[in-house]
Amino acid sequence: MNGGCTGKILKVNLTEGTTSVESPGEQFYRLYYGGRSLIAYYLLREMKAGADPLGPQNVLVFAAGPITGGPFAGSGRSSVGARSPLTGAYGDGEAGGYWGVELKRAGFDAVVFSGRAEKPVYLWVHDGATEIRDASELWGLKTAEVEEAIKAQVGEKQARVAQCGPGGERLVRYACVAHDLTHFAGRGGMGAVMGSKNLRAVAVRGSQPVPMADPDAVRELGRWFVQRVQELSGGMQDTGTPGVLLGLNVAGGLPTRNFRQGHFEGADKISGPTLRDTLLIERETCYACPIRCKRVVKTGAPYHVDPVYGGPEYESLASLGSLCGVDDLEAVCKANELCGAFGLDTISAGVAIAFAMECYEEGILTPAHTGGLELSFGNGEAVVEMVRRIAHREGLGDLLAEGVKRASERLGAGARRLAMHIKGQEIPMHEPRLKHGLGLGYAVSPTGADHCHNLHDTAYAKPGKSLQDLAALGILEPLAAQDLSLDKVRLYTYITNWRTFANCSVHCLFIPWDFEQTAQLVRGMTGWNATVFELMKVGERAVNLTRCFNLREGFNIHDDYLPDRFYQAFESGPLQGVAVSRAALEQARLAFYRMSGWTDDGVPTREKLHELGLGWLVPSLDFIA
Amino acid sequence: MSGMVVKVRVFGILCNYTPGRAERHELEVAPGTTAGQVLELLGIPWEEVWLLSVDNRQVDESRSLNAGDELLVFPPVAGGRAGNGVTG
Repeated sequence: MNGGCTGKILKVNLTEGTTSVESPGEQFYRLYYGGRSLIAYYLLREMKAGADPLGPQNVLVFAAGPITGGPFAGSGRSSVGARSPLTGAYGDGEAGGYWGVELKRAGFDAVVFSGRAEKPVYLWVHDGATEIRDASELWGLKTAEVEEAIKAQVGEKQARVAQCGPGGERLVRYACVAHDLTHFAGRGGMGAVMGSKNLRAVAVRGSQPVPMADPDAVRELGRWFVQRVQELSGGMQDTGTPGVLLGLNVAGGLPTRNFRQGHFEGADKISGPTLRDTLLIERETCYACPIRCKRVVKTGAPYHVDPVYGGPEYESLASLGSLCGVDDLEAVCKANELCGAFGLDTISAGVAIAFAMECYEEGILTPAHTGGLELSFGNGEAVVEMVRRIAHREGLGDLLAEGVKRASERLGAGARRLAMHIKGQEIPMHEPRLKHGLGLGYAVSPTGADHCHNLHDTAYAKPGKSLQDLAALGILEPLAAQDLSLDKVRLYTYITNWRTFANCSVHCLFIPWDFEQTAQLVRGMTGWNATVFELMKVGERAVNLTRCFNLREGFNIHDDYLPDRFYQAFESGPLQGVAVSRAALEQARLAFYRMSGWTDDGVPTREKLHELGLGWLVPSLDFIA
Repeated sequence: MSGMVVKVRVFGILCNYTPGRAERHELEVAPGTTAGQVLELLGIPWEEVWLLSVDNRQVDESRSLNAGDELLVFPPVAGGRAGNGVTG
């Protein structure tokens, strides 16, 4: 290895309490890079088909990528993946911060967990050395308490800690993995997988530099961005991700009251500028990034929001705010803080509470179910209380901790149409009736509804820098946000392959690196003669690996759908009368399958898998024609 | 002919174009001035603008502004990121 990767993957058998090191060789890294692709590879190879996501046979992988830890903005991310207890499909979540960088400094590109520890443990990785330590006394504690205790126990204030919270211990199906308390691998329930394995945390500390093949080239690109950070990312510096909330609201795409509306009358009160001008006390950042987009908030009475957990992203402001009809910013920040302290995904938690609120409004849930709590849209105190009950699985919280798919199945048919999920994963805070290509992406995403490896149509609806960058791929014309033509499917296919590459590298999508700059970063870190073509193929390979994993677990074309609500037109607001066309969505889905080299049922062909260097998979998958 | 005052609020990366990179502006303009003309006055290129809004409603660049109106100017928004660039 010239650089980029350490060449070592740590394997931990929690049942046996043993560790070993695998060195898969440079060809492996060149094909799979890291992150999602590496995780999917290990799941396909080492997890038996049909394994219970919350059983010892599930395989849990923490993975950085070949450019993680480089001296440039966007290199601080890492990924956590397994079979998702929320969806039963491939699942992963990503977090920014420093943890992945520290893992590589400690000598490893990834950690692969199997089995289940007999009692609560945490893993301590320190400059190549590993130790499985007792976590019995940490069980049940909030994330900040555990972080402090582990740093004291290992005697390293600079140790980086990734952990599930009490929510993960209690197997809340959308429990997240907190990294350094302020960065969360939110989606897919990876915290619950940790909890099911009695694995409370993975602490890492290393002193080895991340190897670079051409450090001068990498540093030059890093400096290029630092010198232009205000010009290129001034908006993110100023308001962070919450900066998009007002614009989406004006466009009619701010999810409101369980996706019944796309326009929230209280949007100003929970907007990025309002957060900045009222509760913000600090901006935080990730490794080597000058943007500092992360919010840190603090409030006094009545909620006393603790800044140790940072502050809400856009997704959290919308899911715990407008989606629940809540315009009380302090209540939203408190609910966000509790999600951090207990280890819950803010998106799924907000969607679960909004679902319950609509059930309450329709009489499907009653005060008898809520213990007298007035679970009405707009009640911020109720949102805060429900986050606590979900984390502790108390009363109705126990039902909602299962996710809206399972909760609605138990409540009956009337509730199913109110459950906003795809494949069991709750819908993020982006509205398919505003962005129709995003709706296609929601439907076909391997992880269930997801906004990260998806197309955000609004960025390509007019000429501008986004489109100028895309010219490098041969996409030259803007497309309306509500277009679902073959041209839109082509745009979606290219974008999702590219964004999935970012899940493998594993780098931040908020840094405006263009295609060629990204390839330069890969070349500089690894020494490989990587091209944009290669990077796109890495992304496409991960799309196919995760598709094959899901097909192996019994998923099929019928799991690539949108909830009916998105086929119904808004009754008011800027997008009044606008809906996604079911026929157009199904045509677009078929077109995506065909453009991907899959059958009309969405199964990769033998030839496509060989074209991607995945021929080894074919004999093990009996559904490949 | 006397002028009128309109307010303008510019979001995200579009502040790169405004005087002092300021978010909020008050401009004295002639009656009948359009939203598009206000963008020109502030030096904001139309191709970088995603949408315009007055009184919580979308408007286009030909919209004539009235005294006291507040024009909101938004850049394209993607998955949690406001601004341009293929990765956003």
